[in-house]
Amino acid sequence: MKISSKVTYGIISIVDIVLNSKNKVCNLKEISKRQNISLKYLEQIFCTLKRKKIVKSIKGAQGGYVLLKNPEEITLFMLFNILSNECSLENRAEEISGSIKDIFEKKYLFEMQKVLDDYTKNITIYEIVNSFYNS
Amino acid sequence: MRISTKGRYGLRAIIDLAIHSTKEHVSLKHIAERQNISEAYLEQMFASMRKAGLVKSIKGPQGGYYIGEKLENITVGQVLRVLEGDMNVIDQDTMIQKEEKSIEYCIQKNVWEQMNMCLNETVDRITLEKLVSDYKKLLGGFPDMYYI
Repeated sequence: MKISSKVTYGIISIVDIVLNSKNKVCNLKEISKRQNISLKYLEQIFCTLKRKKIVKSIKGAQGGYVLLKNPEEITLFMLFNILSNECSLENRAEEISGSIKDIFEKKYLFEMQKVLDDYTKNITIYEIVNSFYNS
Repeated sequence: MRISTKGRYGLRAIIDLAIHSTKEHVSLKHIAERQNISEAYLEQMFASMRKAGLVKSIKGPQGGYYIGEKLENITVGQVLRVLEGDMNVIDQDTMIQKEEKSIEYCIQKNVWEQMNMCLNETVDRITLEKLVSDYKKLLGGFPDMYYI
């Protein structure tokens, strides 16, 4: 039941961009230094974020990344789905066959998954940035 | 994020045991057959659950297991914690040393710790008694399908 480091680092770097970019292009080297995350790993994470249209890359010497969405539009639920390699329980349910015990298993697993999903759907990057300013 | 096979199979096995050991103890072989889980895997899981007091065992060739507690006192949370370790979304030891002014610390306080609480409350709310009665209802409900 652990959240992968790809997800946690993804959240940290997007919060970092909002806090530090001041509407300019943000380069991964700086994020890497500030957040102590390897540049290679960040490149992987941002490649996925770019594909899913959360960020856009700007090429060139002064290049880097900018956010394509407002911080209040980016929910943790979104980032979980984009960055976690496992498929969610909902998708996995398709693999489980239709016997009674499997239907039953789905039922309580869903209950747990739903609690977490409801929670992460309600938290946005904007809120994390706010709580950072308030701390 | 997902529950490991160990957690899922273990929960399924202990529900099976709860349903079938009302009168006498049950051998792992029977649980293995009914639930289609290997006996060796069951032995592993039942050893941990026995240590935690969730099930009790009777030794010998006619031996087996029975539930060690009242069903309403065993929660899904207890079973999963015995089989999977803690139910936290982030490892506790990676959570400790953080600078207070870092983004990481802020996320830990405002997100991960809240999620841990949410998750633990949920699994501690579901008792085996509830699962067994749901399961029986589900079984009882199924024959109706033939009349449609």
